[in-house]
Amino acid sequence: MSLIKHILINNTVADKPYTLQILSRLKHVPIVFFDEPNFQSLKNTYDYEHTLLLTNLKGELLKDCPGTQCYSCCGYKILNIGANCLYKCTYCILQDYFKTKMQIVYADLEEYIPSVLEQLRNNSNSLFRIGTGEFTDSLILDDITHLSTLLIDLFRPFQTVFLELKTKTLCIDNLLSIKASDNAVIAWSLNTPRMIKDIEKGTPSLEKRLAAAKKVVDHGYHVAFHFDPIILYPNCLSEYENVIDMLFATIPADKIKWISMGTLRFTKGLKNNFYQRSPLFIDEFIQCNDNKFRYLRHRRVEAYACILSKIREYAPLVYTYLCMESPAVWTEVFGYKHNDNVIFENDFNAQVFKR
Amino acid sequence: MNMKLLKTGKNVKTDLFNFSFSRSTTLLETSIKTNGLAQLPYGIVVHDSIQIYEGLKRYTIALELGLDIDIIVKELSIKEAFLEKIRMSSTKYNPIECAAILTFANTHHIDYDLFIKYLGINIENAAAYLKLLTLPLSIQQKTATEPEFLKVSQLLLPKHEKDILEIYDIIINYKLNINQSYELCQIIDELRLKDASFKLDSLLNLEINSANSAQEFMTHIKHIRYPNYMQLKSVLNNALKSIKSSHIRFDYKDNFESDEVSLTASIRAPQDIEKIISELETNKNVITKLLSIIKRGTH
Repeated sequence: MSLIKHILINNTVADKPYTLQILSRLKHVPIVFFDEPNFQSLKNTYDYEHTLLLTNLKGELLKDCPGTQCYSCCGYKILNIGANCLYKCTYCILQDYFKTKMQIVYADLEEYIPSVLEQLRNNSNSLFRIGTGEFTDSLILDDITHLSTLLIDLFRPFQTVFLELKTKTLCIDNLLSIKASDNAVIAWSLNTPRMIKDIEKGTPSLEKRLAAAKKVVDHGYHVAFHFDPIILYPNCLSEYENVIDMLFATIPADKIKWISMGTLRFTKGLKNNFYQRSPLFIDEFIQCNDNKFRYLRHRRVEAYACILSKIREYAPLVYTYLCMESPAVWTEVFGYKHNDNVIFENDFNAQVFKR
Repeated sequence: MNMKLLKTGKNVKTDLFNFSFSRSTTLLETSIKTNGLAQLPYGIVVHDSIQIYEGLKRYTIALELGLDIDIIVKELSIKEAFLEKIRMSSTKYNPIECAAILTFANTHHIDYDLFIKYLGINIENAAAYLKLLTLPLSIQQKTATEPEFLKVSQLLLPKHEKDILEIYDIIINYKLNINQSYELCQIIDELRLKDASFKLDSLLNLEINSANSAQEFMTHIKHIRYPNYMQLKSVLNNALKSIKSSHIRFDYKDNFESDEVSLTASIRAPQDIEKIISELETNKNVITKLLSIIKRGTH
């Protein structure tokens, strides 16, 4: 893949099968092997988004999405496959979060998979929604990692699991090369064409994302869509409504497993950083009860209600939810709230696993 | 090390090591008048003169008082004398003095590592301190006398000179405290990021009650920066003011994330309970209005 200009390999994963598979797809790219203590000095030279860092996972492969009790969290599980992204969306905090621009792939993750499978088998009465798109775009390196097919095949036998691969890319060739799985959901982040052009620079257009989604639907997969982050600007709501028109003109509602909505939010530590990024972000944000900054509540409610109403015109049954929103906002948008995150998770699972 | 005593003479200078900025010498003057010099000043030979490096103020005051002063002259280089001065000094240098000391070190090629810990600042902050000397003298003065103002000065540093002076005028005109000054700088930065043509001069001559000028000014600037939020707060506060009560007080969480209005009731005697119930009943419409505004905004 020409986007990768250098490969740094932690010696602890140098001879892992997954490392060798990745290297076989990246011939002619210069490789630097390193021992952990020398990483910082290498970082000075190679800390670019086009550097691929193959290293070992520190921590768990499967973990809970970092939600809070006061803002409803759906009980999503994160499969920690890697970190960072080649895109430079203005609102993205990954590079600040990870203190490096390199594309990190955990080359020893196969060693962690048995324990994940054991966890699923031991909890065969529980339902799991597992995603890889929290710390990276799920498909952005799929041409070289082929992780999508590995994971889809891995989870295929588990009817208690939905695997969600969340992306903005058009990297679907591997998905189309295998038989679609009932429990694999390919999800795209959507935004208005104006926002894609202004603050998701370099990412595929809305039309291309929807066309890619159509191809995977035609291949037999279910899809999901995330309106996140919703950015508020003059006339934005009619533009978001247009996006929904386009979405349902392309994708049959019964192929959509879920749709999420979440307005722009950021931590206190990133406030000044965010303000520098775009004049769009110099808005009226308030510090919410989870200490994150969000638009004023009634503006969020107005946006969610408008987008939800448009979604409902086309798809009254598609499970639609708010990501990291307060019970008060839930009540105003949906007319109900979940009293705690477990109830939210159970409700979500009940809705999506039955269909 | 060779030292010798030297009587005061014309070839004694005090300019090279003088980092003092905006310090009162009244107490020292009184002490010298009463007790004479407790400690002699130290100097080194620089070219044809003696440069005092330690005890500059003592020397200057004593000279003005017409005292006959001895100077201990040491055989030290400028760098050695500087390091001795900084390491031995009990003075807590203010930010502008720190900046002058760092400038001296740059001029004389003295490594910061040799002395910076004695200034109580980090090497990472040295560049920011050095820039303080580019600020107008009035702001340097305030930074020196009110070291907490440093955080405001540092926000002023990257701005254009005209902006710096106008912001400083606003701070002085409306008597803003340090936190308000800091918030003002942040708000102006944000307004400029949103609209590069935002003008400050419109803020300079507001008709503001002088008794509460700082608070009124901050409310004004926040209305510009956060129009929806401030309007909402204003409507809510007016609604709260319209509550006719002597026993109950309402409050709301001012991020509007909660659906609740909190109630504080003062009970001094059992009969107050009836009054509270009556006041709640009387103000029912206001409470309904408060809750509605919190949920729906002012639309």
